[in-house]
Amino acid sequence: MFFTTRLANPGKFLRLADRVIPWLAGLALVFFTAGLYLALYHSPPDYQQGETVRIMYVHVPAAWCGLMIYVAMAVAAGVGFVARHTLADVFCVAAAPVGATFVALCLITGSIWGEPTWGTWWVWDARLTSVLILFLLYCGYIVLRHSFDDHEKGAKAAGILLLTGVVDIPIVRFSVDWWRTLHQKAGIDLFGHSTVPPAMLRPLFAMLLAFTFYAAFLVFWRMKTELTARRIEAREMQFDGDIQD
Amino acid sequence: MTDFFRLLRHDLRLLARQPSSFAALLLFFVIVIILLPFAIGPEPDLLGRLAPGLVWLAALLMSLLGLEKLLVEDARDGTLDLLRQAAVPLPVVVFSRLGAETLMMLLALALMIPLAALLLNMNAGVVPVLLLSLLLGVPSLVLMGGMMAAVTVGLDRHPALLTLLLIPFYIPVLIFAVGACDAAALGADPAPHFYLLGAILALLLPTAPLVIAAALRQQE
Repeated sequence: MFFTTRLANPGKFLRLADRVIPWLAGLALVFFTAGLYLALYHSPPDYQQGETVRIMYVHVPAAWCGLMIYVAMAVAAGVGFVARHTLADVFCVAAAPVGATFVALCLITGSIWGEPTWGTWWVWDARLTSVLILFLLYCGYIVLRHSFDDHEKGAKAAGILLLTGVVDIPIVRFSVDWWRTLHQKAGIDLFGHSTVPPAMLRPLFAMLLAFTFYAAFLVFWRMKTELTARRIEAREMQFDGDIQD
Repeated sequence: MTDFFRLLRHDLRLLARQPSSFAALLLFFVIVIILLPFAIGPEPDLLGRLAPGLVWLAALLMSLLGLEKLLVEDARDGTLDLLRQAAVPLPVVVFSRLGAETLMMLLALALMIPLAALLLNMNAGVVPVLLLSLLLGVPSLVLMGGMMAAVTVGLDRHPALLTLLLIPFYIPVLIFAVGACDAAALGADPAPHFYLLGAILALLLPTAPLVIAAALRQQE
């Protein structure tokens, strides 16, 4: 908490971002290289699915990033309401399209994976439906937030949408357990009893880290851009329009 | 409590003074129900199987229609500002306004269901299940719609904006409501679906008026 209140100062945040962004980019690059090598060459094909299982190494990390970003946005919106953190809205605005794209990637790669393995491009089971709802929540947030000219009002209104929709996250997570779904059950148990073999877990974790670092890099970069855009807006309002003369 | 009922009577009277909007709801429902058999073919078994879902779709569209107008005139003519300063707490005012809207919609649906059952060849055993699902589901639709309407009250509402915002929230209600009707049509127990519909309503009833009041207060 103390750490984030120090960062509420946009200037401090920008300096932190400038130091952190190259590291995030570098780590993303390293893990993408390692992950793609492991995923495409150094891991076994599935005994049932063959080589198509390799889509998992993109599909699962994309899903993870899409979910994680939504939760982070909801937490940020909550913090924005309660503690009036100045950067909470900047984070949400920056992260929303990134999260939406990851969920779209998850849906598209899942569809491509489903065709040869399930025999269908789409099915209305609980997991796919709830992830589609998540995508619609992202789109609704983006549209609503950008309908407002006033940043504070927009942040609060869109924040309400975000917090109401967070109910979908546990539904996505537990949909494969609560309903009979075509989508397979969770294979990774953090406490060691995964059904996924270690030879496939290693590339999966590498790609998960790669995607996460890449997502963080994108969000930090977009936050910098958003803060700069707001400063330009403020200057424009001061000079009543064009700041170039 | 008596304040609430007085407010409710007042809101109902206001709605009753605009028979055109009530007639619009009825007409809209009838048009949808009449056009659907032309869209999917007149085969009676198919229509009968799809009938609960089609009625629910028509109900959803009706509620979206009503929501476009909800709160917009209040914001424009200053009623909202007066209500914000009323002695009655704003959540209670909101609850009464939405309650009146719900009652109007339920009345419209109750009037139209017999017609829909006839035109869409609905299985007679499904009709009470459909009515109960509407009774549990429509208040949820109106409460969620009220939340999104309150959040967009200051904006020039693009016609599709509320629809986009509400789809993620309407989908679960639709799934469970139609699930209950389909279960009843197959002879299975619709109770689990009703429990879930009831759970959604139970979550929304206490929280939605508070959220709406908070959203309205911020839009000043």
